[in-house]
Amino acid sequence: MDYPLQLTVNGVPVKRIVEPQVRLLDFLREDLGLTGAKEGCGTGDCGACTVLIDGDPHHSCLTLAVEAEGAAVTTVEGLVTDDRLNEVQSAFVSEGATQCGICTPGFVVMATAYLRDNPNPTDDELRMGIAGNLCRCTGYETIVTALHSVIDGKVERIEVAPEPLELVPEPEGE
Amino acid sequence: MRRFDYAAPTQVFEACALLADRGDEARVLAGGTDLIVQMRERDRRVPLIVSLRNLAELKGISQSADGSLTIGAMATGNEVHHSALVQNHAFFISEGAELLGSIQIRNRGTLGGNVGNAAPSADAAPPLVAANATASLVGTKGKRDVPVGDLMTGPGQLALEPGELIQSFTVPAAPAHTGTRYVRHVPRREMDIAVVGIAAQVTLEDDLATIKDASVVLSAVAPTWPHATTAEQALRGQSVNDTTLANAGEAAAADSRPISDVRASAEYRRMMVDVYTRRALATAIERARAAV
Repeated sequence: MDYPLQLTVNGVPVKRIVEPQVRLLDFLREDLGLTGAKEGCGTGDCGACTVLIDGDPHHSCLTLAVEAEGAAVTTVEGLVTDDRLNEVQSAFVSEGATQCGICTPGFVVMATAYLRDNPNPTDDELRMGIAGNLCRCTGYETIVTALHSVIDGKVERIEVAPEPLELVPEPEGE
Repeated sequence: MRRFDYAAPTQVFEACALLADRGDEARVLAGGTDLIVQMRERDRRVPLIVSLRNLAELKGISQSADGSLTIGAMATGNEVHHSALVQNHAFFISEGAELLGSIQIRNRGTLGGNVGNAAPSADAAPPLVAANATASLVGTKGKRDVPVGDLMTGPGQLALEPGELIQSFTVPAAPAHTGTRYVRHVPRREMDIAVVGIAAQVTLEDDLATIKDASVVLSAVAPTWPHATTAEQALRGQSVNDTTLANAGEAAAADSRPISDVRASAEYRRMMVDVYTRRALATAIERARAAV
């Protein structure tokens, strides 16, 4: 038996039929085409799959899609507003806080939520706040530097080319 | 992950009936931070997942007229950690919850799941045992209350009847001059599993210099979360001083039954039980003196 699923993704209402064993991560990437969230470990250790569920950071690899019924999900793609990257995204660009890029969407989503809830953390608190996100390139210092520039209010949001957020359309006949 | 059927009932009795009916074929899904990983890594076949996400009776944190605190089994690690009610009532329950994985894990993982997963190294469960909390169980035959300390019978083993669920935990009000502390030893600061965990609750006499009662519960150094009973006896009626704490530390080390594994040897664990029991007690006593 498959299950009807209704939720909001990056502000867009979504209605699909899903199999219960499909993880939210796979649903976002494969069914909707939102490939920002990444699978690193698949066990809740690395944070690369972090998305916001009703505003809070969650591992989309440990969440069944059916468990997100009725929720508002935000992925890294949904952080762009008014054709501008958000402050954390912009700081990552300005500071070059990315190497291979696999961990970046998870860090950006996690840090966006953390700094929203804790706008003035100490350096130690900030590092603990992102402790659930691992960077295998060990690029932590530039990431922390980027986040400090957000905390210090030094970041100008970077303009990006307008790109309407398109989800893979619902399959016919379902 | 293998295919399974999924149910998310809105009534507790429906969930219990499903679990009783399907027996070993059904598994309860709370936050999923352990279950989803087990199902994928061990390629475990689970015919039916019963999600608890729609059960209102399992949610929330509230204080009763008698001063006891009730924490729903589906309260997440972050809810428990940040709850002012929990912090004021028994601070070490908040401290233990803060140590569950990362912020992301604490947004999914639940207090009921930490107890229900029955890992000897659990961080959120031992403070419940030390605070003499009871678990309210609900099943097809009705409700019953069981001390959290009696719930775990071994690694991964719980004394639950088929069809029974943990609905909530009730933590009695602590007497005056009570302080608590949960502290663990881990090789790295975050995202690790306890080598040793100590939950301590100390009640002082009105003189704030004599120990009236003490509860010391061990994590990661026994098959369950036992009271260090010899250590507790060594504390009762004693003056607060270094000798008393040293005696309690030694007694707790003797009470522990650690194993050697990839994280630490049994010998090292036993030594750390001594050290961390003294540290946990010192902070609990400090907090008892500061408490009203």
